[in-house]
Amino acid sequence: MSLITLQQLHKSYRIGKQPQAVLTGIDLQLHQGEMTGLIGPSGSGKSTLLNICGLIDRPDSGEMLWEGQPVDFSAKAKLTQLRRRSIGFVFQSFNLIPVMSAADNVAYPLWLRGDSRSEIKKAVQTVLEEVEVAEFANQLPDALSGGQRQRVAIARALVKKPQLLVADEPTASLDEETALVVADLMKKLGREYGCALVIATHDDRLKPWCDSIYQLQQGVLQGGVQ
Amino acid sequence: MKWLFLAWKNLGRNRRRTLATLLLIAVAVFGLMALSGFALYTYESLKEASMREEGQVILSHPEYFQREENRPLELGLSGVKDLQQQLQADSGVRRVLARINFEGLVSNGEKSTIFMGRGVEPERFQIQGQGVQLKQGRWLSPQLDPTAFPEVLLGKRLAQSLQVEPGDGLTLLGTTTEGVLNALDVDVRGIVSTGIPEMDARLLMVHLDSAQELLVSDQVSQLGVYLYSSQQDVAYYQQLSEEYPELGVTAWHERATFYHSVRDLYNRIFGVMGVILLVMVGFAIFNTASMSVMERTRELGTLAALGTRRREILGLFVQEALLIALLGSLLGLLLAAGLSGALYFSDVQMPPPPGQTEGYPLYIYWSPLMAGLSSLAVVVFAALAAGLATLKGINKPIVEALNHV
Ligand SMILES: Nc1ncnc2c1ncn2[C@@H]1O[C@H](COP(=O)(O)OP(=O)(O)OP(=O)(O)O)[C@@H](O)[C@H]1O
Ligand SMILES: [Mg+2]
Repeated sequence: MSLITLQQLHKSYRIGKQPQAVLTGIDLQLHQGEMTGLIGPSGSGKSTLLNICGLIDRPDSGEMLWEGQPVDFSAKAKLTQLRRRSIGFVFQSFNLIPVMSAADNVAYPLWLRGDSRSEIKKAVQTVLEEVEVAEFANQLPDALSGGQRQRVAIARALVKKPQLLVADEPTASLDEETALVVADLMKKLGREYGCALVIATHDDRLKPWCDSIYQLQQGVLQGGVQ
Repeated sequence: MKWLFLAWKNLGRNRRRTLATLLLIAVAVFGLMALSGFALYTYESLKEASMREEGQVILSHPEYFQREENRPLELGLSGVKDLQQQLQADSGVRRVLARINFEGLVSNGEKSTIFMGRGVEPERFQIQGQGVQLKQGRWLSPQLDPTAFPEVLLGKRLAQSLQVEPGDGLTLLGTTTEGVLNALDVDVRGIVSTGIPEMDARLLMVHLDSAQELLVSDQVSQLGVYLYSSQQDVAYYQQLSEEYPELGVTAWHERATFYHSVRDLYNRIFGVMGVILLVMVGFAIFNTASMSVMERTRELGTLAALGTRRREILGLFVQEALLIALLGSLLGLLLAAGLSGALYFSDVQMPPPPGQTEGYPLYIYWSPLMAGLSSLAVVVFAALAAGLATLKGINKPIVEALNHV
């Protein structure tokens, strides 16, 4: 069974008086252990779709099923709880908390969940080693390079072993070489941690990493498993 | 605990702003402490002065303070010596001093003027405070010399009006308790000031015995009981009321009209100023919290996306404000303690209050109760203001917050 099923999802924004349709009937399934790529021109609605998948935005109509259960977008506390437990985010601009060290940034989701100190310490150490920034554990984000920051961000997203990892242009702020390394890392760890990975990108070179690729155009998805 | 740690780290983000807010709070707390400290000191001084003037508890004829006497000592107390001994037997009682209040004319041979007389026991000069100050000459002798003229102390302006100095002679004229005119030749022993011009124009103090000689009576107007501890007055007042139901028993504060009017006035003035300071603190914290919520909008979006609850984010900002408020309060309390100490060791004089001629030393109390109350008030205001400022920020949709630049 798929982790997430989207059925006839619609979303439009109102600019002035004119409603502007962005998503017009999206059908999509995301599976754990698989990486799904969303491509499409700027303004096509990739971020909008990802935000809905990540439960930080709501559709106008249509159904979203999480493990077969319909998601109630008006139950905010439940959405928060689900994000806290099961969803990891990787952002284009990293969005690390500047006053916390790399290790503390990674520890944050576990701490939020209420894990014990020793559990947190162990898990943080492990994941920092996997993304190969363990030596910078005590640095503040400002002291890290873009690639290092995005590795820390990936560690933060994965440390709680989420069921879903949402990555909106995770490589757009990185140079080409680093971008490929980061994509590689996400793919590898996503599979290892068993999460459904959905990624929006402009970068065609990331295509080979994806299990399925969808093109977003005129509000609907085209393409699929490759 | 971790939130508090995070809050602490966030304070370091904009050090200058944190410091400015912290200093403002320190100044506000300092202001609250200085105002309340000055008021408390004033209340305490006036209370002390009142107690020293007539005693903590005053015994008299039951109607003495209720109506005017038609003749001197019409409402007097008799058998006072026994009463004094009984009262003095209580180990908490320091002194029991008798006093006669009377009026008459004083003459220098050419000019006569009305005086307000006080027959007193000379011990009162050992325990009185700053209420009456000796300007010239000396206090009344402890023992009346039977071979010399009785001694008097004159109010400053009374002495001026009679053009006398210590050592000069005067004549007192009064009516006895029977209504017969009587006269007494006296010597000016000293010149005093109460700080109140109207009082200084009329005040004349003589030995109790001299007053009784003039009035031809062995009664007194009132007995003032002076206790060792100024805290025992209420209990002692109740005790005396029960023991002497046939007498008028009056507590010091029933006679202290000046104390009460100053207290009412200061409570109002300083209360308003205190509220202004607190509102200032509220605005400062509101401003600081609003600015940091604005600047950290994207971060709030991130925290929310990661599954942080709204009230946890609210709590974070409130804790940041609380930390600033606590540190600011602490600094303010230290500054106030510093001022209190400095005033204690220096001699700064306040100018005379309106209607008075004598200044008094400036001092402010550092009261633990007020320290607790003002810190608490500041902390509560800070928490409310920060909460209010943050509410707006955390109601923003997460996506909007994340896209904030
Ligand atoms: N909050 C909003 N209010 C109004 N219109 C919006 C809002 N957010 C997005 N849009 C519009 O919705 C459309 C899709 O935006 P979205 O950010 O999803 O595109 P995108 O595919 O992610 O683009 P990019 O590749 O540039 O990131 C755009 O036309 C955008 O202008
Ligand atoms: Mg986008």
